[in-house]
Amino acid sequence: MATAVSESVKTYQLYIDGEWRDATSGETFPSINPSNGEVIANVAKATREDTQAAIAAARRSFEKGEWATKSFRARSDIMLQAFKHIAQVAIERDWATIESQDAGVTIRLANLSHVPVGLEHFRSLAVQGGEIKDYEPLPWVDMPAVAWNFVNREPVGVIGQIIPWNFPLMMACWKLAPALVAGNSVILKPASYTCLTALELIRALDETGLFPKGVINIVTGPGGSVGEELAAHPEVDKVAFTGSTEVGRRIMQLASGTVKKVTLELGGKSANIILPDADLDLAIDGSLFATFLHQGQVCESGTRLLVPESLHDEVLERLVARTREIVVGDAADLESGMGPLVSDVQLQTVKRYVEIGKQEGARVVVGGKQPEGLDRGYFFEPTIFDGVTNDMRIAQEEIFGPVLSVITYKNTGEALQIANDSIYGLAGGIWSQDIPEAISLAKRIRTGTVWINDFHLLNDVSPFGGYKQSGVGKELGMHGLLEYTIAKHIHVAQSNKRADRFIWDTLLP
Amino acid sequence: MADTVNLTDRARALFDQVRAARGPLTMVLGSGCCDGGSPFLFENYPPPANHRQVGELDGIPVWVDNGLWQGVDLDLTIDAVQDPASDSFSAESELGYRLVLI
Repeated sequence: MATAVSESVKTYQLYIDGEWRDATSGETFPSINPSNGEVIANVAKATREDTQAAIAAARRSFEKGEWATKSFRARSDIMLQAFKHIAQVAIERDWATIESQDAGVTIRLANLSHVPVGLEHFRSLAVQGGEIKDYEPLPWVDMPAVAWNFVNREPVGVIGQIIPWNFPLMMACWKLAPALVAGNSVILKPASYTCLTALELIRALDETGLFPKGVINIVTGPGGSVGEELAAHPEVDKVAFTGSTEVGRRIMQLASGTVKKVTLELGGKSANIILPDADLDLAIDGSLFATFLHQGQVCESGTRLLVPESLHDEVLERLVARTREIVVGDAADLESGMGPLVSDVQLQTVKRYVEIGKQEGARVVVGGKQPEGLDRGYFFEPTIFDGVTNDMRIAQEEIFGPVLSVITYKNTGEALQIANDSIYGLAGGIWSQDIPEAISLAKRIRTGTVWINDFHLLNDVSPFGGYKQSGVGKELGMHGLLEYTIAKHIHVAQSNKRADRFIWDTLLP
Repeated sequence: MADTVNLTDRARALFDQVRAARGPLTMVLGSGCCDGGSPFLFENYPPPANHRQVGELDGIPVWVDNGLWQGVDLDLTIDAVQDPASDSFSAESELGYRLVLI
């Protein structure tokens, strides 16, 4: 689907040590609009050397301490000042359209979620970070002698941040805001398919002139070189990654060389459980929202729908009828409820899984193919499989596309067992009118988030992060902010007497 | 039945290129999220816990997660496609390619 590059296509550079520069190789790669295959921009293809330069710049800025030694409150204030400019240019430069063209996000979703929610999370995390205490008192100790103890809350240091292509701007905000307010120096690597809004965000931050050079860096390029360098380089103190479980495992291995801290947000195969007393008017639309939002390219999607046997026929009929009403089309079109998948590779992956599902004996009841008349982009119809059992590959593997597996259960105990029978533990949903019962069930689901009578609603104050092979650590809220800090314990002896140090006598004569 | 793993000619040619640039290689089959559903070629990679070997390609061992594919006989064919923007940490991404299952 090659298209001639027009003269007007913009080229984005790398931002290292407070300067925009080309990759040392001079190479770029194209950013493609997945709705039509057209090149919308070119992006510098960073080399290992560029990445090393960014790491060195971040390290210098951190050691210099201009940013790192400010108080949480001071950094928060500066970030909120910067935010005024960010919010203004996000509208002036129409980041929603850029996001839609770059990532295939429908313009409806980009305008309502990807851009405004991402920016609100940036603002809110900056505000919450301002509330972190630079010093936290600890209880006095009096054994072996009276001493004053406190925690000095410090940044981790140089952070490599690697983000995925599904929510490009929001992921950049989730990573940058907490790291910066906590005083770290960062190197951000956006997903290569979808670099543009992250680059625009860095451009806006740079324009404010409020951040010392080297505190913020962005390198765009392949995972095998740029990503590997960030994960393995000894001068990086922490890696924060959102993406696939396999890459997360690889990052842990590479990071182990210098025992880096890691936070990982990885894959999921979340169970969405309709209980027998659910309000089906909510549960039907909610379950489709849970699965098909952003073409199913969301890690916490409710891709396994667990339905009681007694409701199976009614639920399936209503799901299919509503699914047929979803409009798939160019992401820029205001009528489109679903846009394209991000790339041809992703489209082929989804098609392969649909074939695997059929071979396993599951039945496609709606969708299952590319829509007619949309042959320029990477579109796939919203697809529902019926007759799925939890041991099938389409119930165990994350497809990352618009494919729902419907699984029936006999009783709540079996629903719970099926929900937990997964290597993943990212999220889940419960639809019920009995809230105490739903909460009781939610506590027994081994996942990081459970939504009751809703789905996908991550917010700025609630922690997000998986159990099992879905990840390590939390993002968002105070739990997420503190992942970018280290608690240093300082002990100040209060006695001047040698006799109070009698423990020394176990060594000294 | 048992597991089988095959390589297309394109993928084999790419293997040779990667091997020239890298140390000892291991292949792991991924799943989950973004670029999860593809093979990964990692340098100096010890086989993770709870994985089983499903074959060997040109002397490169191929491992899969047994938690995900226990009792499943996998029939894998690995191909290579051009992808200048691959975010996979797989070694071929540096060369502007991506390994895929077909």
